Amino acid sequence: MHIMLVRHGETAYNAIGRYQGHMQISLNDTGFAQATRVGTRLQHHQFAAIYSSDLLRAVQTAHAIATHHHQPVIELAGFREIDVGLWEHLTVAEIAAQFPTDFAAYRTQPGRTIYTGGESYAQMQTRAMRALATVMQRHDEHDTICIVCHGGTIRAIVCAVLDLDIDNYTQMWIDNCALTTIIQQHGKLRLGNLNDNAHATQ
Amino acid sequence: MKLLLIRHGETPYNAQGLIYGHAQIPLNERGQAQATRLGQRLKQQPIRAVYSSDLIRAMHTAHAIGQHHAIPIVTDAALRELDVGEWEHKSVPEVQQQYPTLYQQYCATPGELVYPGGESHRVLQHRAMQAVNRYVTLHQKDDIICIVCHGGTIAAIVCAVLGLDINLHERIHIDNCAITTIEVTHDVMRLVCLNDNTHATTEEHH
Repeated sequence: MHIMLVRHGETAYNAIGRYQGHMQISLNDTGFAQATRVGTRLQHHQFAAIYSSDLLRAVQTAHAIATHHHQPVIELAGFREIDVGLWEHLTVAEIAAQFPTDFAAYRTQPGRTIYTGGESYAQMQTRAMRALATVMQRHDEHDTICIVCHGGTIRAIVCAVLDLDIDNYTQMWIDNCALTTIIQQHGKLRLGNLNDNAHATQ
Repeated sequence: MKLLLIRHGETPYNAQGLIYGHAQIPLNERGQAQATRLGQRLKQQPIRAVYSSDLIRAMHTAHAIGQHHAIPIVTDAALRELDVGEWEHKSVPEVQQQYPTLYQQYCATPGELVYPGGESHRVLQHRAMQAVNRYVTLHQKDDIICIVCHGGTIAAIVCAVLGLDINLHERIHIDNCAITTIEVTHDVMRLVCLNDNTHATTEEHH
């Protein structure tokens, strides 16, 4: 099975570097253009199903893909971004100033620290992997499925696939609307590619 | 700074699934076509330097990139594939049969096992990272540089960048002529792309 993970397009908060977590924020013009390009790139793929986080920015991106396939978008809360709690709406500098203790802990253990009033990457990884397992049960080895979700969610899934410590999620980056592929073969998961964004410049 | 790590094109040994390290095996026809497509893809990129393993399969691939840019190719033995020693030219079943104990040790700790007459993936990682760190000191912060090498070498570098145990190096799979990108900001390295093979034909794309 091929699992294509797509990060949502740009939002106004991505553009200015504010944390958004579970906020319902729309794509901006750049984000809609990115979503259109990734939709075009994936138009000839045969998807057994298209799944999405139920957050608006992911659903909007998923619809830009689904429109080429005449398929519904199946929304799942398990694929949501990390719940950033009280850090929502804030920049890194503001978080450092307002929550110095939690932010210091985060800098030391970015995967294990609970965002003030929210969840940790490790907790988010557990629910995202549970959602992934649920989805995978519905498909067979020859299927390709698409899951539109978030930069944090994709990195947490990749950490699980590689057996990489969740504190090291910061060692990789996912661009808006870039593709990351997980391949299930002989019952095992492996990373096919990460952050393929060739369609950004086409 | 961006480091584009590029695996060489296909060779007859890749196609047959034979183990090889420092053996001088040239690209096959398919590998040459992959290298040509890769060269076309990178044509418009402002590439500042091309470093290549001195093994022939890497050098041929590097030339397919370098010919579009007015820059010399710098060869470096530190970028070579793992030295597989006595396992050179063998298939996996042959190794299993002839070296049952060592093969078991490889399966238990794939990063630590010193191949008989060769080296371990950990040693490969050390020499490759020394080379990569040297290139970083030679270039400016906005430079894009190409490093043409091998599947084992790229996996070892990616393990170092991610902080992934070298014993898990087999988790990192790199296709022939695929591009893997490391971004260097204030001396911190981050994986920003793994195994981008968009330039492969559809039939090759997994």
